[in-house]
Amino acid sequence: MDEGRIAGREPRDLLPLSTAVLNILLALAGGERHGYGIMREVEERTEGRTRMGPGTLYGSIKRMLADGLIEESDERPDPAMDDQRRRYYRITDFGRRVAGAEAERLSGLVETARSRKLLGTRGTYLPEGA
Amino acid sequence: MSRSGRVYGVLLLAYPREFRRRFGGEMAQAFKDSCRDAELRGGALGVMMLWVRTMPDLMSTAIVERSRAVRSRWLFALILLSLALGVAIAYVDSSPGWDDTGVSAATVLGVSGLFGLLYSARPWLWGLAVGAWIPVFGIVTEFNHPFLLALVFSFAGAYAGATVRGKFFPPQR
Repeated sequence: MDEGRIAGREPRDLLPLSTAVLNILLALAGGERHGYGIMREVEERTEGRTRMGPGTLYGSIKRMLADGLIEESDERPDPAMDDQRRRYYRITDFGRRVAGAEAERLSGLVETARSRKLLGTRGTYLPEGA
Repeated sequence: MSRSGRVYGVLLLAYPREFRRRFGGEMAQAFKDSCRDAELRGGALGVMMLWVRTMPDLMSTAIVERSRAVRSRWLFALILLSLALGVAIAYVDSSPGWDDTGVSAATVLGVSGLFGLLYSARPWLWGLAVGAWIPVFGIVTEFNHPFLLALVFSFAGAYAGATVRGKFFPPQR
């Protein structure tokens, strides 16, 4: 990874992340994937609530590569089973730190919402008057 | 399904050439994979629904990528212009009949400030592009190091311009 390019940058400099970027980082935190693999993982994890098109996915990937959040991987999880034309991506150490910082930021917001009785203990909306 | 893939391949022309060259193949592959899944799950209706979701994505992201490409061409043009102005200022400043150092310094300050205002992301670039030529001309022709002071003015101007830009037109994420 080109650490020099991101030297001096703090994870918080990139916050807040867009929904697409955070979802891609979460998908790649679970292992290397190609573009369509990322799309599938996001759709399955969010139970179909978030669907990324190829334009959103690769526009985000382009900027994440430039920001050093992800990098291309030369390895193929299973070369025999896979199309060699696909490119795989993996999260970098800096990408992990950025994703962690964003998760912490969101967690703080959730805590605030909970303390102001906007959320139940399991993240459900509280009924009016509760 | 293959017809959808071919149509999508043509629609990728909406993206800038550099973007297409780097990601076009992968995008087409991802769309074909999505098509195959949509057909397996929902048949022709599934493919149609996929197109309904894909078109807004394609149009909005193509506009974003096009505007980014224009912005990078704009940056390139600004760099060329700043270099040309920097050389022109240094040429005038080093000409034998010119002895008004204050005007040279004010011009360097103003020009680099204007570039910092126009493009605030890299003030150091304008500081160097505009201000480096007076020291270069001075050191080459007279071996005179005080000309390096021109860099102080150019960096001050560029950072002042960028600060003003950031204060009144903060960047949008």
